[in-house]
Parts: sequence; structure tokens; C-alpha cells
Amino acid sequence: MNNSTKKKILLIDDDFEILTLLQRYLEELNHEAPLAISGRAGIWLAQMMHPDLVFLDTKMPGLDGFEVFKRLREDESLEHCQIVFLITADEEKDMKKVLAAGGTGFLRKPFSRKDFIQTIDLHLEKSQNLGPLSARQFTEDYPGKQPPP
Amino acid sequence: MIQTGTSNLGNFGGILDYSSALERTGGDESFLKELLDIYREDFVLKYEQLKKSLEQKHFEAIQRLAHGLKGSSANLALTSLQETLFQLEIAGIEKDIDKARSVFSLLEIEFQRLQDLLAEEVLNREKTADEKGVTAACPELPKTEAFDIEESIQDLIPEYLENRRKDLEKMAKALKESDLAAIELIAHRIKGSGECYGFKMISELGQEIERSAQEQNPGNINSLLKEFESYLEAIRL
Repeated sequence: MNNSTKKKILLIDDDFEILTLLQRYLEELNHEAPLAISGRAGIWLAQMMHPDLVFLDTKMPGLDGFEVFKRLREDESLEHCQIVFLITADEEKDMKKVLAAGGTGFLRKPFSRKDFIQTIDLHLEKSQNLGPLSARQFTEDYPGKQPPP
Repeated sequence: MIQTGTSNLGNFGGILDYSSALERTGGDESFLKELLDIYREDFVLKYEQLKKSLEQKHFEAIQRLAHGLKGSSANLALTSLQETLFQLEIAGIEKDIDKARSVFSLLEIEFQRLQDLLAEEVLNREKTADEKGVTAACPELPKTEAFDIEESIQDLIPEYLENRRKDLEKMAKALKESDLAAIELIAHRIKGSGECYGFKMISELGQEIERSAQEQNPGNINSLLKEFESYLEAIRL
């Protein structure tokens, strides 16, 4: 699916290289891409801008991704916001933690441009359906993986 | 015969521009090999002199020795050594001891890469090299043609690589200070971003450095940092 409407997609990661890269890809797709280099800055920007979708790194100094996620979910004005965690390939264990926390989904680093765009399309489409990822959605999105208990 | 011409295979990761070197010896491979042997002997001698000059902060000698070796490197199309020696010569002119030390450590790595290349007896390989491919003869060298860089981000690559060089310096400093937590954090980021930019090897090295930091293994980190440095130095886009 191609989401031709301009969306606000907030990127929260302590790695400036990842932010720069994702912003470039999002600008190509004509989306607005505010950047936050820390969890605290990410919360502030989310509350200011009410993004449609957030990409949130799990491992950051200071407030980590899970703490940021918790605070974003406590804010009712951000209820509509889809939150996708950025995890590294060897952090499979975090999958359950993400889903248990009510995350919308995740994207494994390192990823390709194609992976990233597919994830955007998938989650912007879902943004009509509020709420955490269900076991059914999980199975559809990540075939071959077992949903959390 | 080793493949040369416009192919990356004739460049040996920036160490030796084989076709240019061969051109300078009139196509005589055995003469080129002889000249390379003489160069190696001369290099080892001058390397020791350079080391002493650095210890004594004798900038004039650093400049003179680097200039001489730069010339002989250029004659044999030893591209990366020529560039490194040029930087060392500049450091001598500028009387910048920190820069001179830093470039000198690179020089050792560059020379080792040349030694490794020659030890592989790449230059002695005849027809079989064509069959196997030169990259198979020196698998440790990065293959520029293997990079998978998105067209839309190509302008970001020089800065990305420059930042990884800075990461390398930060990690080397952290290693000296036994700050393995800092190394782990930097390596974790490198692991996450390298392949996204088209450099799979950078992600892999980041992962190995991160793991070594977690395992509190400074010796391994030191080796991996040298490998990372060689890799970054060898990338020719």
C-alpha cells in the first residue's frame, strides 16, 4: 500500500546516523519527519506534534525506549499514535517485551530501505485500528514467529 | 595473469594498483617483484628510523623520511602507503606530534596489509588466479563492488564513513581508559547502522566489538579495532 497523504512520523533514536537515514527516506515519501536524539526529546516532540507514527529505539542512554513508550501511552492525546520499536537483530528477546508493553510492532536493525517502507505502509494502514498488536495481527505480520502468550 | 585495467580486482583494496605498477616495469612481473622486495627492506629500515624520530620529536627527520618513502611508494603504485606517508610528511612540516603519531600507527597497518598481500603470493599466481578471481586470493580485502548503497543516500556516505573513523578514535581512547561500557555503546550503534548504509561488514564488526566488550575482552577489542581501521582505510568508493 502507498500512503500518499503526508503523515507526521516521529523518529526517536540516540544514533544520529539512523535518524539522518530515516529522515531522508521519509522526505522522499513526502512525509514530515521530526527527529529526537533522546527519549526525553522524543516525548516532548510527540506531545507537541501528535505524530501518526513513531519509530522508537529500545536501547538509549537516559530514558530507554520502554520507558518512553510507557510515558507516551500514559498520554491520552497520543492514543491514536502507532509506535514501532527499533530493535537490533540479536534482541529477539525484546519482541515479547515490546508486545507485552502494547507496542504496535518492531523493525529490526540493520534494515533495508524496502523493510522500512513496508513497515511504514503496514502501520499507517493500521492507524485506523487503535490498540496494541493482537495475536492475529502478529501472526499475519510476522509469519513463522510465535505470538507472545 | 592477474586481472587489471579498470577492474577493482587489480587494485587490491587500495594497497597496490597492479596495472600501474606493472606499466612502470615495462610489463616485467619478476622485475616488479624484485623491486617490491627492495622496497620492503628499505621500508623496514626507514620505519625504525621514523619511530626513533617520533620518539625524539625530530620533525625534520620525520618529514625527510616520509617524503623519501612516499616517493618510492608512488613509483610502485602503492597507493594507500603513498597517501599515508604524505600525511606523515605534512605532520612533520606542521610539527604536529599528535597527528604524526596517529598517522604513524596507520602506516604500520598499511605496511602489514602489503606484507599480507605479498605473503599470499598473489603476484606469483598465473592462470589459476583468473579462474579463482583475485578476491578469492585475498578475501580479507573489502570488495567495493559488493557495497549495496541506495542511490538516494549516496551523498550521505562520505560523512557516514568519516563519523565511523571518529568512532574508531573514540573506541581506541576508551580502550586505553578501560571504559568498555563506552565501547559497547558505540559498537552497538555501529552494528545497527552499518548495513542500513550498505556496509554489511561495518555492522558485523560492530557486533563483534560489542560482544567482546560485553565479555570484557580488551585483547579481542584491540584486534577488532585494527581490523575496523584497515577496513575503513581500504574503502574506495
